[in-house]
Amino acid sequence: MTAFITTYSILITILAYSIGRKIYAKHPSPFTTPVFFSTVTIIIVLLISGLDFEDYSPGKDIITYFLGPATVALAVPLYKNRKIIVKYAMPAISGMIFGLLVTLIIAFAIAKAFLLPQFILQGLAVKSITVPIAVEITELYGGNSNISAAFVILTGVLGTMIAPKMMDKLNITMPFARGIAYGTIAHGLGTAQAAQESEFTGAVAGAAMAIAGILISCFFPFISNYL
Amino acid sequence: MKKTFAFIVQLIFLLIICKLGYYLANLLHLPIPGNVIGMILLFSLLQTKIIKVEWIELTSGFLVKHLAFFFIPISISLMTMGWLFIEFGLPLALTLGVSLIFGFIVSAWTVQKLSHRGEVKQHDSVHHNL
Repeated sequence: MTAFITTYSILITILAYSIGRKIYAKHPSPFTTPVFFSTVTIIIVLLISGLDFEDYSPGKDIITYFLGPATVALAVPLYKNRKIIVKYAMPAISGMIFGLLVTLIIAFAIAKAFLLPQFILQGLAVKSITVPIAVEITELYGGNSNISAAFVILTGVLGTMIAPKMMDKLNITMPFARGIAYGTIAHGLGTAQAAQESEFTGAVAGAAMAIAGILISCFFPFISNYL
Repeated sequence: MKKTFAFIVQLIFLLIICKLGYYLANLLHLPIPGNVIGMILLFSLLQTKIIKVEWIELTSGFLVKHLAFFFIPISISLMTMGWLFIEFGLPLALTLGVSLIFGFIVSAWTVQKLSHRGEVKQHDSVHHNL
């Protein structure tokens, strides 16, 4: 029975994602972004099937196992774009550092103003980094990795929902700049969104996500002192 | 058939690099996650030409292209976090939303202002096939 439920979980995930991609390609909108669409669909299907998250977990573990090699694979866009990244290293790194600082400082300021508890602050610290890295960092420092993963996902989903139109309105049109912002602030989901805009934007986003992950991993010991 | 075989071999290679990254992080007590070490490892292997990008392009291209897919199961875990949103919904939405918007603007705007406009766009010596 468990094997059946696990297979079922994986199949509905693949199906929801494929349908989500097709719908988004035809009708791009914040609510049709593949992850948002798939998440909502799968949760509804699970509830209708009388299954809860516990039942879905084994399937989840199998799929997320591949986030490890997927993270390693990011070395490829990093390598392919190394020349342009080295050439524009200064603007790119400045944009990444400023962006990360601003997003973290604002998040902490608002969270502290609302007196949100410590475990939420810990989750917020890693909200802009890709899930596999965020989960690792949180576990290294003894935080709640489920909370971190939830914030990372919410940030990514919000990013893909809000950012494209917002950047259009603000006249941020340069693919390199958009790619850096997507990868730095909205990690894997942002990268997926960037890849929808153009292959180049996606590659830059992938590289930015990788570098942002490395930056945060290296600086996290210092950030955690201020939590 | 041949392609499937190549895909699986490349996937196993990426898994080995990933495991090696975790092993190194553990062994050297590095404060950096193992998967990031794996990424740096693979980048170094490519940079030093020990391995060619063509050898791993099929699987890595696929994984990066469908990266979003691998996040879906994690986002399903949000269905167990109802309590978090009931208790902290509004401040959390504000915290995540506002910090995201400003992060995006500052990051993209800085890059756009500091690079010479148009120059990067027309840059053609890059391979950008994801």
